[in-house]
Amino acid sequence: MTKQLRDQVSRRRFLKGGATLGISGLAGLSLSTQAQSISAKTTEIKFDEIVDIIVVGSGFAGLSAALQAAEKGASVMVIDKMPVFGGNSAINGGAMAVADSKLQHAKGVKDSVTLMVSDMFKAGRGMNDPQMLKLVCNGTSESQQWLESHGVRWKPFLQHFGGHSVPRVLQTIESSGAGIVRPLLKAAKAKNVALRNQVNLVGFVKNEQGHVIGIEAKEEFHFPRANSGHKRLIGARKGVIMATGGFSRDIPYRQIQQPKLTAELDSTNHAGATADALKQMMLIGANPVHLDQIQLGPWASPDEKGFGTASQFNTIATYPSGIVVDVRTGKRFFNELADRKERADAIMTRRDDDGKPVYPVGFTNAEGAKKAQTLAWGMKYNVIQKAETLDELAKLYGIPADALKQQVTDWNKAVRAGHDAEFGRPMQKALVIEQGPWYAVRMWPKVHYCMGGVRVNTQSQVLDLITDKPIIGLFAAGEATGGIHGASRLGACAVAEGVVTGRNAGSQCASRTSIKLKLA
Amino acid sequence: MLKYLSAIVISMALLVPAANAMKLQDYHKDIMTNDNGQVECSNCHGQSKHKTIPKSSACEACHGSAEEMAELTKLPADASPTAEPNPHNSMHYGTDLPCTSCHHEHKDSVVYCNQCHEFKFPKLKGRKPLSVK
Repeated sequence: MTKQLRDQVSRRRFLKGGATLGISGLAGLSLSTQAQSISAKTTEIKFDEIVDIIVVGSGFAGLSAALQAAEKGASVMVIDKMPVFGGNSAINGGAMAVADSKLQHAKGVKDSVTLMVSDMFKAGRGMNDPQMLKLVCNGTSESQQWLESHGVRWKPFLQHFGGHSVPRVLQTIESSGAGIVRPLLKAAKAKNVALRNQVNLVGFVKNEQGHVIGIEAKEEFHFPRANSGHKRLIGARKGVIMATGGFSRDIPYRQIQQPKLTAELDSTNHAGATADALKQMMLIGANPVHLDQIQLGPWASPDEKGFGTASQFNTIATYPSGIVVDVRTGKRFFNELADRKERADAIMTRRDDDGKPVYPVGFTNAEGAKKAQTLAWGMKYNVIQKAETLDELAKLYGIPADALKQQVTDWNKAVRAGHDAEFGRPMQKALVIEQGPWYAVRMWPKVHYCMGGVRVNTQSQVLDLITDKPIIGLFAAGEATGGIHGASRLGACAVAEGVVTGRNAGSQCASRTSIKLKLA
Repeated sequence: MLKYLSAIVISMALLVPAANAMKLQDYHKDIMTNDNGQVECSNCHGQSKHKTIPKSSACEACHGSAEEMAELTKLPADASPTAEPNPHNSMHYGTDLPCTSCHHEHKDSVVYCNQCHEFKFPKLKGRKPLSVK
């Protein structure tokens, strides 16, 4: 070991000099292992650290809540159990549905909050919480401008996503939610928000009236090592905001809700998308709604992990401009432009006699794939494959060649006739596909989004299971809440929900009167 | 009492060779080994008896800051649009990802990005040989 290294190491150790505080002031507290929460008189609890507001989670909802609260003058701490901030939001597609936006005005698109509400209500099969749905749609335009004021940049065009009745989708220039997360992190830092990663929520601290006054958390936590980290009590004078996302990657828990969502299904989510925080909220009385409403993304491929390159390719190329066939027959078997749920369900019927998936293949030609930004990346990693002729395509995937060629001929006839007699697909944008080269991808759905979560009111307060009254001091926002989307979320509505409800929670929590808490 | 003491002594005696018997990445063996031929766990783990995953500051003591590391692996200006990206500065996380997310000392290193992506990063040392797809 070099002397230089030794010096650096010892200097570092000196600088850190025993700053680690143990968990303090636990005398007189009752800690129930089952309930995981600590209840005691406010005056008896001594915290290791105290802020006005603790935000748990650092995606769109968490960062929006934190920044909004800081802008209102509150001292805020954001904790996240993962080694990096942003959760799913940092790896999401960065598309936000905005009703009545400036860009819509400029492009002459007529839209309204009422229209967006009705689109989401239709997709949600009428199961949506009407008050929360209105709150989200009503806040999109103003929140979009708020994001811009913090440095978010949008592509200069609108997109028309499935289920929306008009083009109302804006997308960050990065085609990623990171284009929102990074500017919000920067703004939060500038507002002195304390950003702590690798801090895992263990439970809530409640006072004698049952109000949430803080959390118990483990610092230096290494997900997913349950035993890592050391415990601390952090006090929150105004409240705790839960922006803890969904549980798409929590296989046992999602299987309790939907036994069919087995380990066979990958997820587009990051590894930290578990039900741990949801369970903690339920333990102190939160009301879980629509937990079994779990959305699958029908545009994913089993030949890569997560959202990958195929999802964007299928959304922009295969689905609107190509077809999807069963590899055993070479035949189409569903409406490629149905909603997410219908398409995912159809794909998952393709199984062999042992029940194992037989991955269908979606394809289009060069003309159909010309807008696909991820084509080159998908080909680089052999997720998307190229074939010069239909014979070559058939050989690549083991499809009977004659049947495949017949299907393409039949499809082109249907496109020319403007009518899909077999599956009723809307044909306005359908493309006659005759010339190669062909681009193809194997498909299988992935678990994408949890519509369910805890019940909240329009002040973003978490409501008690028995009384339906607010659990004082506990707020929730974003995917962690349930009911906004009902049975099925429309694309680009999760960013809208996260930012709008996050800001709402931050603002409501910041306006609460502080309670006095004691440091250890 | 004597029983307890001897138990402690024995377990301490066992602990040191156990730590030294741990796999260590080849490229760190020299610099982490002291003059007595023993691995200096404290270089990365500090003095605490309970060994935890080191913070990035432990790596940065020798390797420089995350920003400096990102500069070293920056792509050339004329890189192809599908060139492997800079592993130390991503669009998603900037330079925030802790070193130990990818670089492991006592087991094979991994590519954190590849929970979603398929990046090859052929220069990453200390992991299983790359499979050719």
